Amino acid sequence: MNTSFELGKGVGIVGWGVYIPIWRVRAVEIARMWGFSEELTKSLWIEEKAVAGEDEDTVTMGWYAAKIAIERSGIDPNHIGAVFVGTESKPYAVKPSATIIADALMDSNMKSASDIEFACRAGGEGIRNSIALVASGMAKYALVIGSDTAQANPGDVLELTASSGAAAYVIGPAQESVAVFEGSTVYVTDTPDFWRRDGSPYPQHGEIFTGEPAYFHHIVSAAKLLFKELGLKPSDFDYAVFHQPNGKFPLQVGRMLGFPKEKILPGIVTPWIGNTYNGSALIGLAKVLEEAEPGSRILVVTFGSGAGSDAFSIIVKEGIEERVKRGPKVIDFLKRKKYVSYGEYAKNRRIITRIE
Amino acid sequence: MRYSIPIFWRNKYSYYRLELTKCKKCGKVSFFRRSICPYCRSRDVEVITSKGIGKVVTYTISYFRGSTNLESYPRIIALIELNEGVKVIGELSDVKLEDIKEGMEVEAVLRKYSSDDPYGLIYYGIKFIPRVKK
Amino acid sequence: MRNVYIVSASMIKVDRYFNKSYKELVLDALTKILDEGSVEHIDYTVVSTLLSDSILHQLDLSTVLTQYLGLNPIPSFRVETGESSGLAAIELGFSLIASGKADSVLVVGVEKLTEYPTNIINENYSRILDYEIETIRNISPPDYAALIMKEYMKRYKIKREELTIWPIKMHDNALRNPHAQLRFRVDVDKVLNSITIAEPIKLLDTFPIGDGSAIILLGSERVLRRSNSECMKVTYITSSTSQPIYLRDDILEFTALRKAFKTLYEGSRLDLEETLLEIHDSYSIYAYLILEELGIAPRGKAPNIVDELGNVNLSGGLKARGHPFGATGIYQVAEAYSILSDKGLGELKYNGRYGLIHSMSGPDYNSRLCLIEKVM
Repeated sequence: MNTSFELGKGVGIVGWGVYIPIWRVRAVEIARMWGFSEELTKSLWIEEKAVAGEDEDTVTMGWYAAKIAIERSGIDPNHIGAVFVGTESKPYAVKPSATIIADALMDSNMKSASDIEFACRAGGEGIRNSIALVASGMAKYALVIGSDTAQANPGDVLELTASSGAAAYVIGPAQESVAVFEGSTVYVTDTPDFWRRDGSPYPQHGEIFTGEPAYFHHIVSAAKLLFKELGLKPSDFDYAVFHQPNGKFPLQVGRMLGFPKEKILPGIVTPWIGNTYNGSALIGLAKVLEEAEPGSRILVVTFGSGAGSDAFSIIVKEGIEERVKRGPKVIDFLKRKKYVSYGEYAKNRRIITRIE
Repeated sequence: MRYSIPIFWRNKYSYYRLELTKCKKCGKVSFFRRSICPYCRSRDVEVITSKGIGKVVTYTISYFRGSTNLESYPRIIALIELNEGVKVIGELSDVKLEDIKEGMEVEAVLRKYSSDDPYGLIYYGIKFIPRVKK
Repeated sequence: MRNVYIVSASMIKVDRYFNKSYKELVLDALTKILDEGSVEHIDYTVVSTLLSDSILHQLDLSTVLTQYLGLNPIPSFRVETGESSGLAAIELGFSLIASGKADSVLVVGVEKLTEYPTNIINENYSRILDYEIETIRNISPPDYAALIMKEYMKRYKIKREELTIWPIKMHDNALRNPHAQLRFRVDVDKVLNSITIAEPIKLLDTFPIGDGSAIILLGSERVLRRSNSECMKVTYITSSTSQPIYLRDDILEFTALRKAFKTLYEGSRLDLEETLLEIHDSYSIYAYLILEELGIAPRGKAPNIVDELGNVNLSGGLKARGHPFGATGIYQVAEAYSILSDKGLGELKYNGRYGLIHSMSGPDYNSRLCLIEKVM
């Protein structure tokens, strides 16, 4: 069965934006708080993580990323026919974040809008849906946001990396795009590596089980399917961007697929901002778009627990530099930082129990 | 349910976007979406959206506790002059107390004003952060 | 317009009365007037109270109070104009008599701020600002006082320590006021080391939270002739409103006060140096601006003249006597009346003919002025 869209020159990225909160907490401080040896942070390659301020959440971060994406694209936001927010930290379990962001940024009411849940790959699913909507003509443009204030049980190793951030993409016709989708595959199974029950503030996960049967298996499977569909191999790609729960995993999975680390490093952001869940691969992709030369081919593979991966092959077009300049870049957000203590981070992220 | 639904919802564009009212009769611009000019009482007004860039005229670090969202203290309240020449009153965010300076450039962003925790509405609205450099 | 007189005044100490309800506070304040026997002749009661709807969970408080005090079938009103409700109530009472609709009006101020912890009182107090544009967006009254204080210090190049003179003077004055809530001295260090409310506003720049009740009995000429207590004429009562802070060209201007004072001054040609003044010092910075707006000191110079003031806020002002919101305006009038009277108020006595009372809400969102005059 043909599992990729042979879109050829049809659909691409018209604009993109990211948002990373200004606050950082150092990984060693979290490690010290809970009695982890500090070498753990090195073995995971995590130095510090971005944390949402007390007045920020998935909606506010997604709004900023989307605003930049729209400005960068230069389109009239009222021509956006769909808004998807991929998140696993919705402020409301029922009430879409997508409509709040949409009403803040556009006036048109005739649009699809929904929040998508598939752990960290919901944003990727949103991109696949958007490609289909644009290719079919059902929407002229679609706005996809991946945004999370990632949760982790305090004291769990996951807390070293779970962070906050957002990325947004305006998907549209290839003629208006500065990067086009050459193809896309998806690989989905029922794999309970990491989950969060309704009402639970923090997830549970299978620790080593989240590795081989989950992260590695799905990313490798989706990527290999894409290579087969498009008749490509790793050497055909200039960049490989992966979902990055820490700094080490993307290097590992890239190596497994046959990519040298030089092609993977440009898309790695987690060591300095943590794992932004739905922002993870998408912020990595934004960073690569902001430095790639026209003609470059980029592999992007998401991963979401539960589990699944999307793989995209993206070709960068002429004219991208001009569009990069239209808004703040990932590296601008990486530089924009102020440190907080563990206590301030815990208070802002409301992991200190209070009663009203 | 302590927070009203319609009180916020009917003004959402003013909260979500930095709306100003321009009077076609006297020419003055005032903060917030209005149906009548607060200066000359003319009903011939139009609503415009600010680009959201301005400068801090003066500010205070406020410890005045009036909300149940205790994480939000202290608040930084600032009188801001927008590039459009209008003054607005609003909250600053993304700043450490020692970094705030009169005259600093700020941009309007969507943040949480407050929330009727644990089960009620979240009120989102415009606050100001130091201008993000490109 | 007929003449209107203050026939009697009464007040209780501003304090924390956990064991008394608003009804009992009013009854305590009413005692002196009841004993004088003037209550038989009341045509209306006007009640001023600010937070009763939310904090006391009581609507139509004036009727409920009337029922409790056994004053029915006398009709009543409740008046609310933010922090200046007391003077607004007096303005209504005045109008009822001046127009001929009534001969005798009991104006009652009452406030209970100790029914809830401070943060709930603060939350409600912030609703004197525009809920949709200010309160809901986390702006509160002390924030405005702070912005104004900063601008004042910057414009007139005044050091923070120089602005502590107002609370020092107020606490000093309050030692002679038996009804004041705070009766202890403060100094520069005490003020500057007190808790920051909204920098640079300190706790000792602003009023304490307390309960209180004060009552004024207003009467027509006919009532004056029958009365055996000292009566004073309410010569003028006027009020005005202004724009919110962010719409003002200059945040150091109190245009509502200016407008109200202009009206009053043109009608009375008052010499403020010989007038007993009670001004609305909800924040010390407002006191300086009010003094300058009234022309008592040139712009930027009010802190320099405070120490020598012998005719302003002898009660200790909102700062030390207290600010039981809805009752405050009535306290101010009752104090001015008592201090000007032959009897005086405890140790406080002022030999003058006129008393000018100023009350305002927020940063001069509305200002009200009342001029009283000894009947010679």
